[in-house]
Amino acid sequence: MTQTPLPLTEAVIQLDQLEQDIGQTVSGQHQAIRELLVALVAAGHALLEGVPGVGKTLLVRALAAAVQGRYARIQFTPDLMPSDVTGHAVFDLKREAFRIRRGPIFCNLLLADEINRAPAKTQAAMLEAMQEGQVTIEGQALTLEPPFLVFATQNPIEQEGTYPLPQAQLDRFLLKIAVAPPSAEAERAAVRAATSGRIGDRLDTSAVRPLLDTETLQRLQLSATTLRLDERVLDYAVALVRAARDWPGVDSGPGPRASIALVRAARAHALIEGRDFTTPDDVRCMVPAVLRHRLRLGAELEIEGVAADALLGDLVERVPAPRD
Amino acid sequence: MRLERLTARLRPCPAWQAIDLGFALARAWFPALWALWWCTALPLTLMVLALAWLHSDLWLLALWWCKPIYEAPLLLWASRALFDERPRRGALPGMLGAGLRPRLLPLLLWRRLSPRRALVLPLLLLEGLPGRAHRARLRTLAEGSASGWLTLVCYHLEAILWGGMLLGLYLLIPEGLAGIDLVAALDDSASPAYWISSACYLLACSLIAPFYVCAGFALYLTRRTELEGWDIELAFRRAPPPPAAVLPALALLAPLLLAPPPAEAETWPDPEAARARIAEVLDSPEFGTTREVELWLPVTDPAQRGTEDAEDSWAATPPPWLAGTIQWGLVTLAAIALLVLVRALWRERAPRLPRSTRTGHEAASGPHATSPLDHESEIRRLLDADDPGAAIGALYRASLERLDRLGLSLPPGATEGSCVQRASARLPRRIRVPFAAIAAARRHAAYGDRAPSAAHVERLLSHWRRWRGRTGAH
Repeated sequence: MTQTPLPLTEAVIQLDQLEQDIGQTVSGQHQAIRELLVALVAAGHALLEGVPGVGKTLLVRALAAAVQGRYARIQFTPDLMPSDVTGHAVFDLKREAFRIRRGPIFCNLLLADEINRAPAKTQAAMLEAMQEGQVTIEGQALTLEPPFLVFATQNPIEQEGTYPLPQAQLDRFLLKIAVAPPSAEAERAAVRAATSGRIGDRLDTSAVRPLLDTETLQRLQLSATTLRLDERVLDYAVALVRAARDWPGVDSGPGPRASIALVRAARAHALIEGRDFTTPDDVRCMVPAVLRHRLRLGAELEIEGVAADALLGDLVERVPAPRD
Repeated sequence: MRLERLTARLRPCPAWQAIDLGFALARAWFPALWALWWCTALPLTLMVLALAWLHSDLWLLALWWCKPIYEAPLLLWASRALFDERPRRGALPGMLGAGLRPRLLPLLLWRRLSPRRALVLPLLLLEGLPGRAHRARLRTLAEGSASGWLTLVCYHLEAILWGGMLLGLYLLIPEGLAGIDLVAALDDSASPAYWISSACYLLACSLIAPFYVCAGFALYLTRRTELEGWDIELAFRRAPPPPAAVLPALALLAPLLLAPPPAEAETWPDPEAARARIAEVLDSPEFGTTREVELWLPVTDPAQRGTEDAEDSWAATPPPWLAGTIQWGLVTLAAIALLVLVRALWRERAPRLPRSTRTGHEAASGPHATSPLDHESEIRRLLDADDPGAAIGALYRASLERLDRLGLSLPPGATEGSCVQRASARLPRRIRVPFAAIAAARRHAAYGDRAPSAAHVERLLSHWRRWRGRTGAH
């Protein structure tokens, strides 16, 4: 069945409701919610990084509640095997043949909690799924049903017993969303909401309505790809990524995939903003989330304590924006 | 004073050597002095703790202020130990009572903050002179004694020791246990960390006090040695008995001393004989020794200088060509160094952009680069040519130039949205509202392919003219 893009007005209404519903569930995380929606609309995977207890898992749970698709969650641990993620072949005694038992990765929305706790072998098992949308079990390639989105979380402060994601896998994530602690006011509201008339500390996503089915989501994603993109905006996006690559003090910069990711994210952002065209502002505001995990800073900058976000802030100030 | 029982070798020496001697004495007697310090300080510490109502800052201040009370026993003990006499512990309260009680008030009030406290303490406790005599004596002894520097150095040593102990505790407490909050340790007197910090400071004081007191005492002794010639007196006392050659001279003098007073005419000895006798006495080896000293002195005799100049004329006045070459060489080196410095600063200021981002963009980025001198006529021309999209672009750039002149810093990377954001933060409403409208129209025209109508551009132009006019035409 050939899909048609969702009309702009309808798309904007849907996204606005979605943003409001998630915002009611997770307070004080407007930036993270906006970036999560960008990943959803741009059909890209996202890595959420933040200290424990800032609402990373709740964010993804709330999004999953809004999308009526199959949702799965994998808690990554050091003894997790690749077959625990992808699935494996079991011998069926009745039929006297091997049968494929599909793993939790066969879903629409996958929450990979604490992804950096699993060893490299298990992390690598997700590479194929994330990039190619398929899984190979016993030599048999199985396609993952679209939409397939991975939302992984990781904790930046606990380094013991973790396996940092390799650069190749990090590059598969469209965005790295920094989930910061909320403001005092938002935290107060969250505490009040979480302790009034509620038993225990289970994640509550009841405020989120099931707004999107998988077909609507795909039409929404298609809408983002049809937005107008001026040549100057494209040039600006590429110039930013190339400048980041050659920036003094950067050991390893973003590749062309980052340019693609930046434009995809900018298009999605423009759609969420309710425009049918992309502007340099869309590009500029997506730069940190798209590029922060694709930069490897050199020893000199590391010693000086320069963070990737600070460097990117400097970058967007210096790379000329189109004005002609 | 039984100088022959001194356990240290005293001689006139500079103040820093005297302090060094004091430190050496403190090292030798450290266990006894340290224990003595705690014997005095501990009861006072507990008493002040009760009086200060567990306020750690008051407690610490009171203990710090009472420092002279703990230092006095140390000095009394050291003054006895120097003469090879170890006072019994039971005798110390009596000594303190007699020596310290009358001087306690000055020590804790007007002499407490004196930088020469280390020198004042022996003067007060060991000599006990009254007011004016004390001041005169202090003036004499304090001259060139470096006692102020000693106080300063010891305060620094205390601070370093205290900081080191605190930092050591902070770093050595294993993860998982409740650590020390360093900020609270410095300024939150209600926190346990402040108590730990105060205890560390008290320990640091106890470790430094023996050195401070002994160094002050050594300064006092050295100065007295210098003024009163203790070393000469000691040398005489320790000298062997007079040699046999002097005895005849004394035997000759003896009748003169023992004889009954002669008549008036005979009282004057023969000058020649007296001179000979004096010369004989002065020639004896007990009077003075001869030593050879070599030193450089400036030549003041022009005649002598002339002969030496002839020998060293090349070194004294190098040939003009050599001097000129060296001078120009140095100037060139300085110029090169300046250029390198300027280049390094420039590179530091503007990180290198990749070639692709510089070509074309930088030339177009600055508002001065692309804006025509007469913006309005350019916008009019574009409107007449039925190109409102280009006209709004020109108006946007003209607005940026105007904002730049108003002092709003717009970096090359500022997009439409960020320009509006900066203008909203810093400019009045009459400027930021029309500018936001221009930026929105420009955004739709440039990236959304929705050029505004000519009438809309005209409206925006008239608004722009108004705020440009109010802020002063260029």
